Amino acid sequence: MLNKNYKLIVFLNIIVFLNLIFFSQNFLHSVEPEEIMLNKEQEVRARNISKNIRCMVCQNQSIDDSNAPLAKDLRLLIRDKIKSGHENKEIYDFLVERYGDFILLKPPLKSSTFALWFMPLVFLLIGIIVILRHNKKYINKKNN
Amino acid sequence: MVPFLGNINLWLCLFFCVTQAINFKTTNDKNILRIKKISAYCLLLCSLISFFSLMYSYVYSDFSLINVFQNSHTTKPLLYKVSAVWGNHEGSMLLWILILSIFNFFIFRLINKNNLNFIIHALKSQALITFGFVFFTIFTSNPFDKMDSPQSEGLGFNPILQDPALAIHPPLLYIGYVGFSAVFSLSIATLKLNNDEKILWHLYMKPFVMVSWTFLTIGIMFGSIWAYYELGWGGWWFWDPVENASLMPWLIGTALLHSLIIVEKRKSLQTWVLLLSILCFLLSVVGTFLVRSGILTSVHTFALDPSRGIYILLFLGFLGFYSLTLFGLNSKKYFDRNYFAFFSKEGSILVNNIIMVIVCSTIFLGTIYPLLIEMFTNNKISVGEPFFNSTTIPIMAPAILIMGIGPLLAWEKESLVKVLRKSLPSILVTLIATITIFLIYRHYSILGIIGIFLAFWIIFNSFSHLITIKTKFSKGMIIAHLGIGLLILGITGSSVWQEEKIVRMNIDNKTQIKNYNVLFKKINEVEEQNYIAIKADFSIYDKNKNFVTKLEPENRFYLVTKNFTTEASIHTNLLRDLYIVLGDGNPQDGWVVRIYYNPLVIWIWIGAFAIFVGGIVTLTNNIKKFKILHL
Repeated sequence: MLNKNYKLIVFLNIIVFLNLIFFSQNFLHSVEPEEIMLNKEQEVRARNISKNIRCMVCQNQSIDDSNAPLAKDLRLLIRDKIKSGHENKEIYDFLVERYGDFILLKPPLKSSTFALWFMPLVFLLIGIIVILRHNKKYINKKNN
Repeated sequence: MVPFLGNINLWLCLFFCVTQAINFKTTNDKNILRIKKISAYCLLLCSLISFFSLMYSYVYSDFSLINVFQNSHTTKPLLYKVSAVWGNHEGSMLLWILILSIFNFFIFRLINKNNLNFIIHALKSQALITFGFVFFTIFTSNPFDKMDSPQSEGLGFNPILQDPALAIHPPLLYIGYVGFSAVFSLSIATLKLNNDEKILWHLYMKPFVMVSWTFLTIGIMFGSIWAYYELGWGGWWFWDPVENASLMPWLIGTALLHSLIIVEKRKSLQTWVLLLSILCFLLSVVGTFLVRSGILTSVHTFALDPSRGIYILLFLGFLGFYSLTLFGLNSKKYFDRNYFAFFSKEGSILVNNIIMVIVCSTIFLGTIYPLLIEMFTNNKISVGEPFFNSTTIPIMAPAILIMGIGPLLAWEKESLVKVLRKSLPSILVTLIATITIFLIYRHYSILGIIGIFLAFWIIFNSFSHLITIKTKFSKGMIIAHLGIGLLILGITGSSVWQEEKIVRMNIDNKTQIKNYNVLFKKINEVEEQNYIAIKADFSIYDKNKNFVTKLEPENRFYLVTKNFTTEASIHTNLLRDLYIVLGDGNPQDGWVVRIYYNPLVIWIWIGAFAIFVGGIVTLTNNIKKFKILHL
């Protein structure tokens, strides 16, 4: 049974391999079993970091979701760093220094992203003011 | 021959848009009516012929057309030949035009001697919009463009799009997007009314809002279902710019349909509603621009072929400038002084409206911010899922809280004590239920607690509205609100308590996830019409070793396009999904297997479907009401 399928499977595997190299747009969840660390706490940390790191060669995917070779390299890199005792912040800093802010899916707070992070708060404030003013006008109208 | 017919009819669409839009120098109402009638009917007819000509070319694989050659293949199943018509940019524009002219037709059908002026204004605006899109299609993306030399076989089309959910996703979504064009046109017509004309414009608007919003909801749902089982990583919403583009009009549409209730019952917030109905369609066009221009991938790829993007941008600029100027000039006459207290039914709806607008603005900001940064600085940044989750969820939560009691409140003013007394039972039930759940499952997480609390809050309130006979609630509203509760339940369950197992397995290996044992039984080859695949066979047993189900994930290879796809295999019940994806591997080392335990996912789909049903129920009521008042 298996022998009969063997050729096909080998053939498919070659294609998977080529596909990964040339297209890297395969839709697979991509952490591989061999990457997973034995220390559960460290593995959770690694996964959480991976979810915030963009796969540089994909569209809107984190390295946790991507199976591009570059994403795999970064996942392994993050795990190595965790193993050698680096803090989360040090790892993020290292990645930003190497690849720029583009790699962070959650943009850092700095002058150029100030508007991005604070505009929602401004929207919220405007909303609250609108509601309060409307309420006040109602009270004024009632009193007259 | 058939493509030629389609092309001619596309040009005729352009012609009838013009005849519908321009003013003829005649004072005779009958003549004007006749011209509008001919235009609206012919526009519908021509767009139908044009659309079905393309469909015919797809079904009979007419590879003399570039569009068919690039997107179809003789071996493709018939269903996907048909859906391929809107599975690509050019063809989908044709569908867009068809739906525009269908809505145009429905607007025309409302005409009578009392609303002649109003409907004619609306028809003009609708003709203008249709003209813009037909022009765009003919000159930048004509699906009837010919090949230099006809081919005998096409290039096929992306196999991950060959899927029933994705086949009906675009038409449903487009009814939503395009339906808002009718709302936009009615809003323009309202702004153009003379001061002495009294038209119950909100009654005209409401059915169109309901149709668009309802279909947008179900359209987004089908997209999510497809992403869930096809993309194969257990998620169903990724804050992708394409998804955001559909969510923005949905949010504004939600605000719109709620504030229309206030206009109807209290004659308040009229200017606000007119503004929302303009924004809603503008956002649909913004979505079109973002998705179709290619600007999302990079500002630089956009620069390579900017004709489409620039056209839509100009058109958007024109529509925005025209409608917002008109709003600025003419909206004053709809300004009213019918204020209301914060604690009132109107107050709760106003809060809902404002929160929807804030969330929409935030999503808009997050979607275009990377583009702005890239344009104005040398930097590139990413705005992804973590940003959207951390900004929209906290803003959304109060809206959900208020949603539970909103329908209970009285018009104009309600006392705080009364509100508390009225909602005390559901507060208690919700608290008890939430605590019980957490005592049983002993799985704590702040997001989880908030999510479950909000879900129960909405669900219990909806049920209590259902059994309260004293006050009459709209059935559609209760069903839709219940749907939101179930949706939140599903979202919370699947995102907070998802479990995942990634292992390398060989045949006869076993693994465990939650309380289930997973046995890898065998792997087979499969040959289908247009792909070959390896198919794994897993048996799932529960902890008492009872057989639960068989799961058969596949890895497919499509021979025509040389694409690889993974087909997840899912077993669903009311409490959880078991989800298996087969990764790569070989008989020696085994295969990478990804198993997900996704709690409560089905409630997302049930919830979204309930919202759809609620929308349909409300729509039929609106139409009934409209007929009574209109005739």
